[in-house]
Amino acid sequence: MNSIHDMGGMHGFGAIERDEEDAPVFHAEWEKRIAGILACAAFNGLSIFDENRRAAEAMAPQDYLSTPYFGRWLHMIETMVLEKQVATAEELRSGHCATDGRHWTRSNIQPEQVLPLFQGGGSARAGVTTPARFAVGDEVLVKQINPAGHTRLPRYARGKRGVVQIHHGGFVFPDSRAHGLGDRPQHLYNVRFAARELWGAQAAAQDAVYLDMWDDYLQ
Amino acid sequence: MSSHHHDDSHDGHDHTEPPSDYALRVKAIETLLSEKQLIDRASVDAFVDIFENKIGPRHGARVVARAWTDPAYRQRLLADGTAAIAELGFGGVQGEDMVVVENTAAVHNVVVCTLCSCYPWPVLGLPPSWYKSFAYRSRVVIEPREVLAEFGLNVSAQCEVRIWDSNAEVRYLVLPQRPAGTDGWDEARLAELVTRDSMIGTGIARAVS
Repeated sequence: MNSIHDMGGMHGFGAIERDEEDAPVFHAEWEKRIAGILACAAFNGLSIFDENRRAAEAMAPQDYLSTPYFGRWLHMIETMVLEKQVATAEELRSGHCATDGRHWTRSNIQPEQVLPLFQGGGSARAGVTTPARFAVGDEVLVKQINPAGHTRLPRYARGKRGVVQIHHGGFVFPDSRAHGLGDRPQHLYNVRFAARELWGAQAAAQDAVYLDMWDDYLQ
Repeated sequence: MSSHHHDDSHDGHDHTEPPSDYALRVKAIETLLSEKQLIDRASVDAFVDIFENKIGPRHGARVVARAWTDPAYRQRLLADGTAAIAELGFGGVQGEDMVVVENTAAVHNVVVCTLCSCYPWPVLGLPPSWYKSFAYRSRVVIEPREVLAEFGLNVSAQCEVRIWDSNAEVRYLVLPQRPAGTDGWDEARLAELVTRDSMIGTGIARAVS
């Protein structure tokens, strides 16, 4: 969706406030807890990254901008809990279980399982049966599309031309997965866009932006 | 729940004291999901322990130091980042498919996620606040040289700047240039020169005085 999260190329956010090289990753206890809760819930099957991102993107722009980073994580899990009917809004407000709700299909992972599961990860690679349409070195044109749902195609690259740099192989498609519409695995390419193709003459002639492009994004 | 939360951390800079609203909502959802036996508090603790203690840029620094001292490893790292990083025991969530890009005198690579905050967790940990900030996400793709200058890095006009916008599930790590004057240094000593920012591309490895 064309919302505020897609901010590549926007002006007006000012200087970058850097934190120290060894600054802690959390600045409050609640930030730690929500990070752990979101990860735990994800491993227990509540939602996938694509759904969580879709939930954050669906925030009203003014809310997205005024909510701190881990507050957006909280919003993601609250949204998923309601959407998947695990709990009611009243239960979320009170913090106590009042209904059975719908339970997740996966089992509740135990502490000793956490580290091995985390280190195992879960690759988004997936087999594709169709041959690749493009090879490294090919010029490609990105489609001009404006889907109202989740997409990982930033606005700044739509309608632009680039050159394939890497063929990553087959990967699941977030645009469908974020809406529960299946994996739709397809070829994923890394594409180099000349900075001037994206931004015009103001950009340095030799600079470039590299983006990953699913087959569906390419003309 | 998504209504307005007026606080002064507009930009992903969560340095200020959070409004108690967030703390209360987090406590509520943790209690609720625990009561429903859908999360286990001790498992949540284990995830927090990973985020705080088990992943971080010291892992990435070891990868870089190995690449600086072992040409064959460097080649494997650039050819198949995931496998080479796994040789050192690192991998997992948000690092399942890694690509390593090398900085040289002619090319300077920088990583961003303009759409959210994608970042290679196993080798760098969770991202710093500035990486998640609206200013960095919006600006580094359109004015990379100005952004790098704010980080104290002036990239010469002869050098090409490549911005890697992590919009898919592939994660990118920058292999910084080895500082001059480090001939004969061992891996452990070299790793101390490798900063987090040098592996994102907004910095370079520490110089030897």
